[in-house]
Amino acid sequence: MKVRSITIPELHHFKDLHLDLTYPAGHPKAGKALDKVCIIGQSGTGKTTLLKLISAISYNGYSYSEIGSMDQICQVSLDFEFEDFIVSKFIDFDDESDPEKKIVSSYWNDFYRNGEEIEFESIESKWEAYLDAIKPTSIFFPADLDYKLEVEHDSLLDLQELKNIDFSSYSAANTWTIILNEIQKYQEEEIKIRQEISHIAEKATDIKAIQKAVKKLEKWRHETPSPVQGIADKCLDPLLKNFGLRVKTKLDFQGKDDIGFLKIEDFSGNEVPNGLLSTGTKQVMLSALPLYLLQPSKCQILYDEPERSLYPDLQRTIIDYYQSLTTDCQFFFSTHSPIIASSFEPWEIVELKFDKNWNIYRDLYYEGENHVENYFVDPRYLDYDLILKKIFDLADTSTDMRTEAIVELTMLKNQIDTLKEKGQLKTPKAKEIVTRYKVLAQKLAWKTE
Amino acid sequence: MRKIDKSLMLATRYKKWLDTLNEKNEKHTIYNSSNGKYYYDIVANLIWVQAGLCAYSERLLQEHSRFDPGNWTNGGFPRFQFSGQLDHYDATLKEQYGWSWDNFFVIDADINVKLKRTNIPTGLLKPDMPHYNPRVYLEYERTHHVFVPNRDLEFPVQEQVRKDISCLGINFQPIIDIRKYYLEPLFFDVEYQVRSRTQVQNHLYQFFTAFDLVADRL
Repeated sequence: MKVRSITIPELHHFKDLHLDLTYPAGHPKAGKALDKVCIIGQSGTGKTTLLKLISAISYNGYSYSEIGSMDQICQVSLDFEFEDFIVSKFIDFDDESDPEKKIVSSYWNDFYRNGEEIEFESIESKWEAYLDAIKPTSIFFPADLDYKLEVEHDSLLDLQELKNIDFSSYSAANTWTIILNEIQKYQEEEIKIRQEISHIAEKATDIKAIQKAVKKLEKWRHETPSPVQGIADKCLDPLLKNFGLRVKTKLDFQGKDDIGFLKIEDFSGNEVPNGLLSTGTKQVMLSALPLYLLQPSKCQILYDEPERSLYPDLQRTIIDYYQSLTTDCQFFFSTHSPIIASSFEPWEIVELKFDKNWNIYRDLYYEGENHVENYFVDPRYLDYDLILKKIFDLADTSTDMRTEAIVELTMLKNQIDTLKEKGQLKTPKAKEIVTRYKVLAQKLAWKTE
Repeated sequence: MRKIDKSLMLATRYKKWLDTLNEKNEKHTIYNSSNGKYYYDIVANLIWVQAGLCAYSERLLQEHSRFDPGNWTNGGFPRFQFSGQLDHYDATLKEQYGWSWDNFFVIDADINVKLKRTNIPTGLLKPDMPHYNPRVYLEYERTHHVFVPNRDLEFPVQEQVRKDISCLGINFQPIIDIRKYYLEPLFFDVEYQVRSRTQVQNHLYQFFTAFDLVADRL
């Protein structure tokens, strides 16, 4: 189920805001909901509020109170598409329940199929079956993700049982429960085969019997990779290698309670204590691992400031990477990073701005009809300097010193050319100018053209 | 930077007040920006003689036709909305001669750079001086869209011009981007004969000097 549009009549700085979140005409997916959305804007323009609204109205109604009063939130509606249906949804207090308890319910405005309005009853069963089949339906990663890696086995949540996963309410390390049992079973199986080998070795006089038992262990290992090996190969090692680290795949615990959380080691095999892992490493682990282990499909995934603590090289790859861990999910990212924004098509960017009355509006990147041909800004064609200027509206990206150096360098080059024409390049004056030119050009990284 | 003729005095109330001060050799009253009695008269007069352009960068600031001499009353002009700034060419004169006509230009707020507060320009690039001719002092470097000293000048003069370019802020980054975005399509048209130079010039409304200096070489 993907969000096609959001309509906010009035909420904080939002007034009569309508966000179209579908691909424009001329796009291969024209008219379909966007696969990923990048929300950018000055601090205070409501990026995080928008993420929370989407989460609350989609599936997570009980969390509305973080956003505002129900009087305002009940006016906000989201259009969704699932299969070939389009539905409009809002949340409000259940008017049949006890007013004191204030139970939040979902309400449906309109249903469409192939552009024709239809009755809810005609698709109710399909709708319920659809929702039942999806678990989780939404995953929210807040900007202030809990970086705690220590897990207490008694209080771990079973995230696979939750419809809505909100990591602002509990640690992403809870994802570890998903693999805990698998690791224990794996370890028990290995111990069992090892015991068999020991047993044979005690009794057997035939070396071939021992070799056969050892081969059995090797075959089992080959055919049954460690659950941690999968995390290492398919999820975390491609990212951790940027920090000179990898997942420790060798399991050396005695019982379930001894498993703890994922262990990280350097390339020499030295285990790195959790307390010494950088925030960037933890950010990578705790933002990617849940997607790998939960294997979300047709789910909404919301990241607030995914760039946190990540060096630019990782920021450049992280969006595609998150998508690669999921199936047919819709992603929402709120970011201040031009590097993150460069991963998006222009229609996938929602830039929020204040108008002169301090109300929020969306800065459109097209003129006339919403058609791919009418977009005049496309981050995929811009370098980071231009993304800062054209997307993030930064007027001045180069320093004044650089510009002045360019002027000086051009002047010096002209002087050298003049001296060359006059055959005076060997004079002390020429040498002085050439030296000055080279020193300055080096400071400009020879980016002089 | 185009040459500017400031001899047409429309703000005659201000001129009379200034002449009286000068005759008596009195210090000017403290320059207090738009609170000054003749501030809008001065700005309106300058916008007219500068044809609505920033005196240094030549960015279009304001449509200047409303400041036509026929729209003035008794040597004054009523208050109006104004987005640029009234600049003191030599900032060091601000304290004692803050209302001197010769020292005033209307400029883009974006180029009123900090450097100008401490550096005194040499006067070589003062756009109303009789000697001033942009072709003599400036070249336009199209790759970076910056003004640079004319290579035909003596090397020490080039250094002076370079410092004045910096001091006046005509290569200030936001202006460079605006200038580039405006001029490049026009250069393309002239270079590849989409339109003639004259056709483009007929529609040009800002950055005249940069256009001329590059168009000469296209």
